[in-house]
Amino acid sequence: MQNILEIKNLRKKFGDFGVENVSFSLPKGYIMGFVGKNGAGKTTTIKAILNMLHRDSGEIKIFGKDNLEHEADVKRKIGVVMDSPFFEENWTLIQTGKALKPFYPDWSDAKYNQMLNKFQLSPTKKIKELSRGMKMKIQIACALAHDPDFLILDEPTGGLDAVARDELMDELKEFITNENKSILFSTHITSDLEKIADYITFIDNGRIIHSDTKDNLLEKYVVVKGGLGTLSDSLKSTIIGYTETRVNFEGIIEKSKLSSLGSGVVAEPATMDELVVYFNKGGDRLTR
Amino acid sequence: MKNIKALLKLDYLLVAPYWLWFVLFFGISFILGVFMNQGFAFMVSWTIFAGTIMAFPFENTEKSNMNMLFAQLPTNRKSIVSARYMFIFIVLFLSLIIGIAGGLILDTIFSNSHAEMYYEFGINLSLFSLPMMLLSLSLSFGLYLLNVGFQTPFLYKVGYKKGKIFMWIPIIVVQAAMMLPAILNLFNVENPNRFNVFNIMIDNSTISTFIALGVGIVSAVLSYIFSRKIYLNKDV
Repeated sequence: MQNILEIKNLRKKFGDFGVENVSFSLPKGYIMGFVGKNGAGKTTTIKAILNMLHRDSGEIKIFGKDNLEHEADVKRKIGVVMDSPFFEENWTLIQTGKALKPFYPDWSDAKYNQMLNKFQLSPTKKIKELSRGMKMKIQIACALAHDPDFLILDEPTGGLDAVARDELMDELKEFITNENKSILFSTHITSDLEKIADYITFIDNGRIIHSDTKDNLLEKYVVVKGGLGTLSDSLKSTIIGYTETRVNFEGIIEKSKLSSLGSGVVAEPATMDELVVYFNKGGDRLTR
Repeated sequence: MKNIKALLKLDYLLVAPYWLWFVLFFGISFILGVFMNQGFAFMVSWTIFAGTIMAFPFENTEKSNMNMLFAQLPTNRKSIVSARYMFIFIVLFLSLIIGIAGGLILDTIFSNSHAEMYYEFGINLSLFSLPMMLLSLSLSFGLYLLNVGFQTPFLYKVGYKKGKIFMWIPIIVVQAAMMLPAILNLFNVENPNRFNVFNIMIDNSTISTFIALGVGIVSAVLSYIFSRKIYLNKDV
């Protein structure tokens, strides 16, 4: 399986924060959800992929090429959507397209106009007149207008209403029907992951704690629940992350370690929400 | 080369919203030229101001978060800096053309007062004379590039918000140098006119022409080298 993105041992430090030993790959034709709490290192990793940040060490390959040595080549086929817009606020949508077109040999005015139409964006409207959801849509229109093979989205659905999020997910599903294209998107919203992600990568405190297919992930971990009295020391050493109340506890554990459960503890299939919550609570156990 | 053209267009789009500043600075420079009865004064002050306006693409970039856009475009950072400096030179040459045109108009209007100044200095001070034209061109060239050359690396390093003071420092220094005789006069310094930069340059017009050209070229080259080094290593 060819990888569209390969990251090996990426390290980037800003004082006492940063990312360390980040490694994961994204095969062609798939969508990867990049998950982590605020400050986990998602945006830092994405910026390093786009060479917005200079990595301290490590290797990043996109389309099999080093992202530094072949920067212009590689970026020609990448579409980017960030959580905040980055166009001159006095530009109209027509001017925005005209500003970007010369950089991309595969830019299609027809595609751009089609996207504006689809999103019901008036071409003569200025960037500063757009709502947050519309600003995200114009980014998508610009990202897709030059027929990229790799879409990178950094928290694109934050602050969007359910309808706008659904529209975005539909666009991504349509994009990925071409098996030579891939998507990497970072998100907090687990329902987005459940809808479209094939792969999930968890990052916590600058380290990757899990990177695998969504199915493997859901298969590998289960939720365990029980009374506080059943939360033995051996279970605590096995459980990855958990919460406890005055009377009971709930957490996640590897399915292979179910034998360590005592009586009175039940195991259930985990949802993506639960995995995200409990990985965040106990992520450092997985990075050791 | 194709990317350079696209980047130049982007820089033009970044500076275009500040057209009113061009008009304002043109007006101020023209009034100064009228006040001093000198096309030379208009030409030089206008080009210095035009250099100051070259800081505004940085403001616009920062305001619109466009550093993110530049960072994801399929081009490299060397090209981004090179295009910015090419744009600076394009604006310089356009400014010189406007400066010459405006200066010649003023000198035509004030040809009588030039006759009086000719009596005082012994040379023709209008832009219609070749030595004065060459001095004006080189001084405009040199001061524009000194202005832009000074501010641009700082703006790349710290951004517009923190670095905007640097766009005004060259103007303040030049204005202070021009006002030096008047200031010294206030402190009863004997013969303050011997510190008149304008007089010194007129008296040594040939060497002043070459010095101004040299200052401009050296400023531009050093500025480009520093800007490139800073931007290539900058985290967006």
